[in-house]
Amino acid sequence: MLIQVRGVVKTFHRDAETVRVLHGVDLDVAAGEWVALMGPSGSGKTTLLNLIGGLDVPDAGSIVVGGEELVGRDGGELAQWRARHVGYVFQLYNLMPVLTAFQNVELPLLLTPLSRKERKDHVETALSMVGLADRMDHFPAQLSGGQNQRVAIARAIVTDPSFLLADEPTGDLDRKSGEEILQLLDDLHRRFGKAIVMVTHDPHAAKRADRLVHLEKGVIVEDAE
Amino acid sequence: MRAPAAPVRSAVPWRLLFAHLRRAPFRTVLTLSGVALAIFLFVTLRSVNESFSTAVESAGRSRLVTGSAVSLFVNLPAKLEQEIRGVGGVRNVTHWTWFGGVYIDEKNMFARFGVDVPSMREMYGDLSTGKEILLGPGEWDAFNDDLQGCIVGAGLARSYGFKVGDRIPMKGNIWPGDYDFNVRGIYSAGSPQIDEVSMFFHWKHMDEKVGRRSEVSLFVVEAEPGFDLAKISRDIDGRFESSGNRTRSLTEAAFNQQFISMWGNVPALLTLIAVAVLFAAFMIALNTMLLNARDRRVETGVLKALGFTDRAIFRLNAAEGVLVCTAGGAAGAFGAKLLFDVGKVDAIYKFFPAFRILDETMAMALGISVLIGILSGGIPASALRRMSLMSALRGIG
Ligand SMILES: Nc1ncnc2c1ncn2[C@@H]1O[C@H](COP(=O)(O)OP(=O)(O)OP(=O)(O)O)[C@@H](O)[C@H]1O
Ligand SMILES: [Mg+2]
Repeated sequence: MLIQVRGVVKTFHRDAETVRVLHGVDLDVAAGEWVALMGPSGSGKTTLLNLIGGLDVPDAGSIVVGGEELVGRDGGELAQWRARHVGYVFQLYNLMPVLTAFQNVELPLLLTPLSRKERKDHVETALSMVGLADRMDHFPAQLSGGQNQRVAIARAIVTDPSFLLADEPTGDLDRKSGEEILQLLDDLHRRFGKAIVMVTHDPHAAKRADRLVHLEKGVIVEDAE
Repeated sequence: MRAPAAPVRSAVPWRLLFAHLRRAPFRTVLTLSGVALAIFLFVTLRSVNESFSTAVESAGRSRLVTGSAVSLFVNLPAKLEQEIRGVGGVRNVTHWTWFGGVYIDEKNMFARFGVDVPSMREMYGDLSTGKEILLGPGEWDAFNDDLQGCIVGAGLARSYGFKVGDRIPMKGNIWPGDYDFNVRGIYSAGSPQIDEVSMFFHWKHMDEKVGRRSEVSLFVVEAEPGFDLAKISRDIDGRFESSGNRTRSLTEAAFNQQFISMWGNVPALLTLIAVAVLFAAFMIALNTMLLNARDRRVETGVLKALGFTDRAIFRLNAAEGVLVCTAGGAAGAFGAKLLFDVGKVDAIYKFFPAFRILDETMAMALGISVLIGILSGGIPASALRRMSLMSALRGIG
């Protein structure tokens, strides 16, 4: 099993108020599996995704990814772990507006001991995989939303992570661009066997996945193949 | 694609720093200029203050200035020189006399003195040990031999384009008459005691012109080595105590101090202004860096999500402040040096002849710029560093 989530509880504190978002979530994701995570707004999908990606830590429970327990690690260890294993795709792309597509994709490679030349090779490969080899020197503002999301996917895969986490990757795109992104994820999944955990509100997008998981009020209510 | 090896913990995405600076050139240039201007003012004001103390510190250790006990503006009879020479321990005496006068237009203001050329040469020139007035022996000779001759400071020569051989017409007012001086040399200063914006000519010439008034403004008295200046000063003043020409003799340092005290609290005020300006620059820089930090919350969240450490985030943002402020400070400090030391803007030397930009002042200026940079960069940087990944990504906090 690639990802094993057990009894995960997550609580947020807002002023004096305490909001319990996840009430003991269990979830397994196999290597090479594509899981779609659905559920109403505020049900905790993003929260769960962030916990799996080591962006945040749970209050209780265990998260084992690739045989490594994430819970209990300090911030520095988690940062290092993220750099090695996670490819994250955000709904709003979250590219650096001051960097070109090439430089954005190269960013995570700066954390590796790769040489400049090796980095260049990796970036060019990643950008051609998402079909943007000819837009390397463009800034995010010069690209469409769909193209930006493809750059973001290139950035997520350039370090060759074990799995991709995507939070509503098509949520901000028109139908056609969204379709292209899904096709791209499909390719990565099929050709390179990447496991994907994707949050989506779109049932059509969810159909692409191997498995559908429903989250409601902080618990998994339905887990369908 | 190959899986990359273990991440390098300390990696800082430096290219982002330069990308940010380049993509917001207006902000960068404004902040840089603010710091540059403040540091420029700091260097200038501190150097003015330094010039006050330099005037005292560099004063001749073995010289006295003897003037009228009544006021600086009252002349003394020239014949007192003989009596002063008779005082025990006196090695040499020369005299300086304020000429006033008008060169073409009242606006052309620079100091003009009638002097006794041979004794001046002995005390300040090529025949002295101190060589405070730098002028070749040939020029001294030419000056000495021409009763209508004059020498001008290098700064003055630059401002007015005077060259050796030029004629300088001058209308006398305190010493009435029409004068025509021949430029016999252009001197430069060998000590902060001497400025480069004065003109010297023969006192004998102006004295003859007005029909032998035989008065001088000041005597400068050089003591034999080892003699007590205080005693010589008491002896000189004692000698004229009961005459109609009471004198007051001060060491050169005390005499200069007298001029400085005419400035009253100006040095303290200048220090205050310099500190206030530096503080304003710090606030400008801090404000920019805080604005930058606000704009970069999501970006910081993304960097953290990609695996950049909090330490790297801190260094990236703090370095931006240090870079901008240090560059601004260097521009301001070297700008001042270029303007005053190399460009020799004479206006400042007219008012503050001993104006010098000390290396110490430059070092302080650069140190302060770095400090402003560390503070203005470090404060927002540590806020970004502390910000939790989740709030940063959500653009809050
Ligand atoms: N950092 C935080 N601080 C406080 N409350 C938070 C934080 N993150 C999430 N929450 C709250 O937790 C709940 C779940 O949030 P989450 O973002 O996981 O929902 P979601 O299922 O992704 O919703 P959506 O479909 O709208 O994206 C919400 O009520 C949200 O306001
Ligand atoms: Mg969400």
